[in-house]
Amino acid sequence: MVPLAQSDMTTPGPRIWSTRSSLVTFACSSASNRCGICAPTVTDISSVAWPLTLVLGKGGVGKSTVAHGLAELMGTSGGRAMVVEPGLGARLGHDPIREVSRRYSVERIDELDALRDAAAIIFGSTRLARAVMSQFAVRQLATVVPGLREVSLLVAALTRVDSGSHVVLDMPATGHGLAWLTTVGLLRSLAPAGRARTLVDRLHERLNDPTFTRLVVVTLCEPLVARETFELCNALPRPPDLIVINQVHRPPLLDASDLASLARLTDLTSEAAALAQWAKPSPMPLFEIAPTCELPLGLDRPSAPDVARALAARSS
Amino acid sequence: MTPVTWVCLGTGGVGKTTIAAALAATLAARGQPTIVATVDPARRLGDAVGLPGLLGLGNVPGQPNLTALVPSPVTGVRALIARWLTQFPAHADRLADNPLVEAMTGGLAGIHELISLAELAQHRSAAAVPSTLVIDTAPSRHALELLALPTRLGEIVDGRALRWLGQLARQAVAPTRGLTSRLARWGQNRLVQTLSIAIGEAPIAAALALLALASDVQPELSEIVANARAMLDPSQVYITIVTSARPGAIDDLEAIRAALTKIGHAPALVIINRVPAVSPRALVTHPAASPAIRACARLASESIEAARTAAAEITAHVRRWGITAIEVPTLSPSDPIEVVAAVAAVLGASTLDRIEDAGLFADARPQRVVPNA
Repeated sequence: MVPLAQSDMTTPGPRIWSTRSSLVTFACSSASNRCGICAPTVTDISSVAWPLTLVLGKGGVGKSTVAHGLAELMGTSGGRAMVVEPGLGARLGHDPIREVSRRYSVERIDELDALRDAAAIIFGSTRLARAVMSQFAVRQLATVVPGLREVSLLVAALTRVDSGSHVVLDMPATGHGLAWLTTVGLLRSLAPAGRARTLVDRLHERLNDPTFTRLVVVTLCEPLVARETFELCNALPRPPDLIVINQVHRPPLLDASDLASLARLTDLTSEAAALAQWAKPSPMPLFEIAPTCELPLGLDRPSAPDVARALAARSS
Repeated sequence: MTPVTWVCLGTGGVGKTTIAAALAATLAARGQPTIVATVDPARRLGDAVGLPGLLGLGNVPGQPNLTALVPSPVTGVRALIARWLTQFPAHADRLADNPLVEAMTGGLAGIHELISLAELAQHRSAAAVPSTLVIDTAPSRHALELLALPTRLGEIVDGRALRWLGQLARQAVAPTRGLTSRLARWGQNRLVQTLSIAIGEAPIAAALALLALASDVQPELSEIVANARAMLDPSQVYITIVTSARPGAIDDLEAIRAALTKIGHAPALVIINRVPAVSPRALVTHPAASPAIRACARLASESIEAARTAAAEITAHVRRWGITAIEVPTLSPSDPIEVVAAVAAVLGASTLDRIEDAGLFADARPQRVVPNA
């Protein structure tokens, strides 16, 4: 179903600012292209300048869809791109993408594999890591000790970057995704020395380097979701590089005169009400902290190129 | 009536929190003392029950039998450790400024589940009257992790692992000439040495200090884990899967059911949220409708009818599992509290009665409840 692809996407519809932008505490510095008014160009979105892209957002907003679309865009612009799906916090059920294209690859990383690989880096020896990990107490603890699996999965993503890929990491939903980032900083304060510290330091440095890691936040134009997004943006270590607003219908499907004439159809009141409800324009949240980009409503299980096209076409 | 636990799970954005709040309101409305709790770090539960920003326990306004609980890892960890230190003051020195404890209260990933589980189990067993618990979970696999967590923790706390680690920790702290075989001690020392070289001595010392305390409070840890286990035991839990009316939803449901089976659970109820009630199909050909309205009505009908078909297919599908699916229509209020009240009205006490009457305990599965059949 492609209801809105046929409509003229370039005509901006009326914006309804329903969410309080005062929740945003980041200063908007238009000079550094971190302003909603300053439009990112298509090359910004598809850029292969960032080796690592983290896709964050509330559950069910379309993080995976956006991750695949971004990988497709990066794959198209010449880089080797891949989507990394961490097993921990992964979705259950069908893939949100109808078909994956050949322009990028997808890897699902199991958290225990990631843990063993990270241990091998720390111990400087695969065999030693395996010996330690095979200790029953260590193995049992490793899956419940907070933070270990999360950091190992981030290390795994970084390893893929080191081998020459542009990695898009499909993160778990809001609170958990944020906890992954917090954990890196916390582990730094834990380990004052040793190889583990070197590894965590490198991870910390890379994640906080705005030229290395791109933070992409996905949201919907629903007030509650937008509110959670504002809170997420505030909790992030720095403003996101891009906010993707998913399921937008713009321009509005029905204008004021349509709605008025709909109200006059007294013989079909429940149908008219259903249509008015369905076609209600999305209240657009205003995010001043980052460039935004929209995905239209109606992309149900799209292919990766569909998403990529929509992302490129709808950058504000 | 034996208090049971309802667990709401499902993929992201399907309305788990709203459904959990509505389920709890329905259970409480028929006189059952109920606690609705969230283990989702997103913490939207407060908004849904009219207690925005809630952290800890709160009485839900207008519902005398209903309490809401939003666990807080920061205060939770501190309170637990403070209590243990009054019991075992010998540990106080080594746990003061323990960087591991600091990290745990600072929001280390995964700590949320551990503390939420402990707090939920504690409130459930401490409640003056036996209370039904309704748990709102985080999306996807995190919910399943939570269900499996008590068993995994039990393996550590009640098994060899904690005893072994505790022994290692005590010995590292104050070497004693006990009855431990020298070979075992040599092995333990080697492990500590290896870990110290790779990770650094300070974090290993911090971990050992915490483990030494953990092994002293083992009976209490064991009790917490036992409570959590009882709370989430498959024979005590109604798993409620919340889904949206999408064509792909059946695949999701099957994946969730398969994952549940692996950990010994089975779904008891499926709630299909936001099923649109009316299709504006008649407007497509209505003579008085403008071309714009007709075009829009065509798109809307397609989308709405696809959702309605998907809902009907889901209902038929889960009936084959031997369980009920309840359709909750798309509701117009935008205020979360009003939505919760409206959903509670749809769920209705009678449906829940029938699900409970059908029996819950393992031997009664699969339940055969067919609504309005």
